[in-house]
Amino acid sequence: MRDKHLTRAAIQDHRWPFVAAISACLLIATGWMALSAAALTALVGMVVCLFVTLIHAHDRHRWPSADRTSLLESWWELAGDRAVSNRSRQLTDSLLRISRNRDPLFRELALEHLDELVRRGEVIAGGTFIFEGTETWRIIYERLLRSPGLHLYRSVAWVKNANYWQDEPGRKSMAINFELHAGEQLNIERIAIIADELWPAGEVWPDEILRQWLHAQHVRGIWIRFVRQSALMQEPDLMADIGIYGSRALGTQELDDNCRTVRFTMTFDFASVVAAEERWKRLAVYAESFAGYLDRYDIPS
Amino acid sequence: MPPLLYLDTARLGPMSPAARDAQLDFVRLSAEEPSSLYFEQFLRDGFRTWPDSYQRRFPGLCTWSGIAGLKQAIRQLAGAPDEWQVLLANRSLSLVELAARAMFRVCRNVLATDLSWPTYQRAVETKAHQTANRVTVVPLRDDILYRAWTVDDVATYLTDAFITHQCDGIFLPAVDHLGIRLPIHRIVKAICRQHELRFCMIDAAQAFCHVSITECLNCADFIVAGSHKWMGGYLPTGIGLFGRRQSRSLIECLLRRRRHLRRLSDPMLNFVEQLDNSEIDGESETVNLTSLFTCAGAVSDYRSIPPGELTQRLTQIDSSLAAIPRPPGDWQPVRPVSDMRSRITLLRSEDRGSSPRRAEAVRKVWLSAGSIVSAFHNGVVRLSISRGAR
Repeated sequence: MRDKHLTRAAIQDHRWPFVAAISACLLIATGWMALSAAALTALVGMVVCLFVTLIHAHDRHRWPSADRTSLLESWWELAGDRAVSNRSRQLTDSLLRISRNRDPLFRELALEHLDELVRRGEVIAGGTFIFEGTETWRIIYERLLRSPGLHLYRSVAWVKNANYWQDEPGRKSMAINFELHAGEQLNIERIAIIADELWPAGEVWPDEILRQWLHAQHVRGIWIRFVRQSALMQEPDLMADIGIYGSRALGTQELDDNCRTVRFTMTFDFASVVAAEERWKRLAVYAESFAGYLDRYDIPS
Repeated sequence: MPPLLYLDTARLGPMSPAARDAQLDFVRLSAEEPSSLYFEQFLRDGFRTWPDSYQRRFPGLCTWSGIAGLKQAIRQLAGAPDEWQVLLANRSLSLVELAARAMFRVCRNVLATDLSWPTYQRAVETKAHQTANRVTVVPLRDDILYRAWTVDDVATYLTDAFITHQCDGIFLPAVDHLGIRLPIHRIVKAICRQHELRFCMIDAAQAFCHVSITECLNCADFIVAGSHKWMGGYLPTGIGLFGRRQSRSLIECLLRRRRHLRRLSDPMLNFVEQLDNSEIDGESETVNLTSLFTCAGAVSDYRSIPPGELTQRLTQIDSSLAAIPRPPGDWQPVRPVSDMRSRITLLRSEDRGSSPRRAEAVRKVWLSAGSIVSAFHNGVVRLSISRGAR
């Protein structure tokens, strides 16, 4: 029922350009008979301008986009970006083919999938990519770390398990960290939030595997700080596993009990990056440098 | 005509007797036995391992106790603990570059002052630029020399600057080339009370064998010194010292990695580290080793001076100054408060009309009066009084 109303409104809405076009033709025909050539040219110009303005106003009303651009403006803007414009054409082709299929079940399924596509498109347009149940995010991670213009990578490792980043994908990512830091392409700093069971209150050093993991980074010049999780009880928003890539992007990793990635979210939203930098500064207040610890305590033999 | 008084040790110190003997006998050895069967062993383990006949023929090399022996002697001279590492290089600049490389592994913004030796400063800035980090330079010299800043003033000022500019590393000279002796330990302590200091790099080129650098050892991650100024080695040898637990493994790892990648650009540093680690690869550059033997001779001479005598000489600087032959005119000292003085003193002519202002002309006037000094623009001269000049 609702769809029928929409269709009727759309048909009524589509009448006006025809009415406007016929009116314009009649006006120009009258002018051709009654006016001089110069006056007729001026009249045609005025009619064209009026027509374009009307289309623009109509589009803006009919296609209110997130940044309030009209369809005409959108097409115009997209035309300047060949890569996106190509995708737009491909999407339009697909939509046309979907639209031509009259099977109701097909349409129902297609619309459900399209809704999902629209939702994902909106997330991407918001600057965010989500990877669920996969370690493939590490490919994007590496691309970002290696990208020109990125000079500082700040990482917060929320270590709830001694196996944190000890698996093959984790070791490969660490190797990239070491390579880029040693090659002076990237400055890396890391704060480790360590679960109390891995670093009991009475112990000087955390769990040995973890200590070695931190030490390996320290000797390669990655500035390491660490803090017990319990020290952050009053500031739970600081407890997160994140990476701040310059001032460009923010990655958030969520792990299961076996240290496998449940979800990895990479956002290029500047406000989110700024907020993460602010949290990084607060976290640094609680954390102590690994180097300072080395100065005070012997490494267990 | 009385002999000229040499007062330019801050530029190049006079060669000590043992250094001279070592050089002369090494030159003879080079002429008579350029590549002896025993040479490698002699180089590694010292004079005592040579056959008696060699010892009798080249007695001037008796101060050579091998690479490890020289390193140990330098450690003792500096007052450094046994676990500290000593690096030897053809040029101290190579060591500055190495230290800067280590420093910018962990630091994003390093605080320096206008007291830094320009060549070293440039090396640090270049490394900062290469690694997308920063060096913040703050002025200090005029406040110390002309406004009588105290040790506390300097420590407070540098701490404030460190915090204001959000620095995390520091690069300072223990004694600058114009004789200001910075209270390094006080400064570092003041900074560490309020902020995180990741790396402290000290230029001790003018301080080593001149003033005590013991307090620097408590707070510096890397100290750069040399043999050719106050030590009396004459031939330049860069000396690097590091060993703080918080940074030792970082520097060792960096050094090892660069050695393996053959990226140690300084031939002597590369050779000595290979020799010390028994990793001679047979592909290293031919190295001029003479400065190692003169360095060993100078260290030997320096260690023979009773410790109390060195302190006494520093306190007697005013009487030493008064006895120095100088050109006529009113030469007034320009120097910091007593806590920051060294054996380097600046004098400025107050007779602005009659005295020459150009550096070369001023130097000549002093030379005519019997003293060899360094001269700067505006009629300022630098007198650096070595242990030979009383």
